[in-house]
Amino acid sequence: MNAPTDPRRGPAVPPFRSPDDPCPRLLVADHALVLCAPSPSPEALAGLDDVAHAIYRLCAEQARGSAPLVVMEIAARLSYPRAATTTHLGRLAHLSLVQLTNPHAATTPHHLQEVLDALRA
Amino acid sequence: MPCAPEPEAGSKTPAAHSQDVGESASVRYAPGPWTSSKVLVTGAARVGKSAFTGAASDIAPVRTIETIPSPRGDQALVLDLGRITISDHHVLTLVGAPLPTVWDGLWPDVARGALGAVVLVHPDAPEDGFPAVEALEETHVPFQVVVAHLHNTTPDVNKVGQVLEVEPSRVTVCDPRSRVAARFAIGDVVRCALAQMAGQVLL
Repeated sequence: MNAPTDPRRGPAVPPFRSPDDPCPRLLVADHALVLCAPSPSPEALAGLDDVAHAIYRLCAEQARGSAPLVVMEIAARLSYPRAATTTHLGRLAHLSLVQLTNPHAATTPHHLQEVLDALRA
Repeated sequence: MPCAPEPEAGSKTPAAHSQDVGESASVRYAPGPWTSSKVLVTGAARVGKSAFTGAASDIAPVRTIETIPSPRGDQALVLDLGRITISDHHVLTLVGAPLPTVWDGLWPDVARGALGAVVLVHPDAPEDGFPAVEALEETHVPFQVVVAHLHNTTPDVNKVGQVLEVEPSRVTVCDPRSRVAARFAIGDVVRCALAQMAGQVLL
């Protein structure tokens, strides 16, 4: 563990990990939802490699019956490295095969009230 | 290393890809503007984080285990991802994560964007949750202390509040294996977050 560099924080919670620490961290904070394209281009699909195809297929299967997947959930479900998942999702979005929603979490009072209402219903 | 099932890999040709996805040609963009939010579930080891996440989640949680090198040897870091579909345009993700003292590198991103957090504590060892309380206060993430009510114990809410230096109203007693109780506790987190947004000071 490195020494804390932020004077506002105590030693119990050092703010930065070691540069050598291999554990991924990016996607845990990525709240974007992945929505599948309604009419995927066959040419675009044919050009996908196995990893990108697996990601697209997972998202498409999810889109059939329930709410879309959050990016951080895709990496966990597919056991792919987070960085690779991010790269492939970016490529899928570039090919218009998926849409990525806002990566920031919903924290407005309206959204919170919606959550509260749903949980207490 | 994540424990979710591996996807089929390897031998597909582009043509096979096209055919496979052709089966899912009926997929479409989900209607409306989708949003996602996140609630963090944290606490000491074996206090019931996975049970809590699993009970509250609509789906079987996806468990990810990362092996982290530490001075005491390799350490398994378990993350559980659950989800609750709030509406036809809103997904709530539950992230079950260890205490910030277990692996500090994870904490900032896990906490970032969370609308709130559940700090799960054992009734006999509420002090174990203090690192989480401290970290959440530093990052201004609203939280609710949830005392795991197991084995017919009678948790003392006032004692837990005193140990963790929070008002008794910030302490909820809950059986982490119960879906209803777990969701009610998450509701308390959201209520706390709403109160903080409204300018009420909850200590």
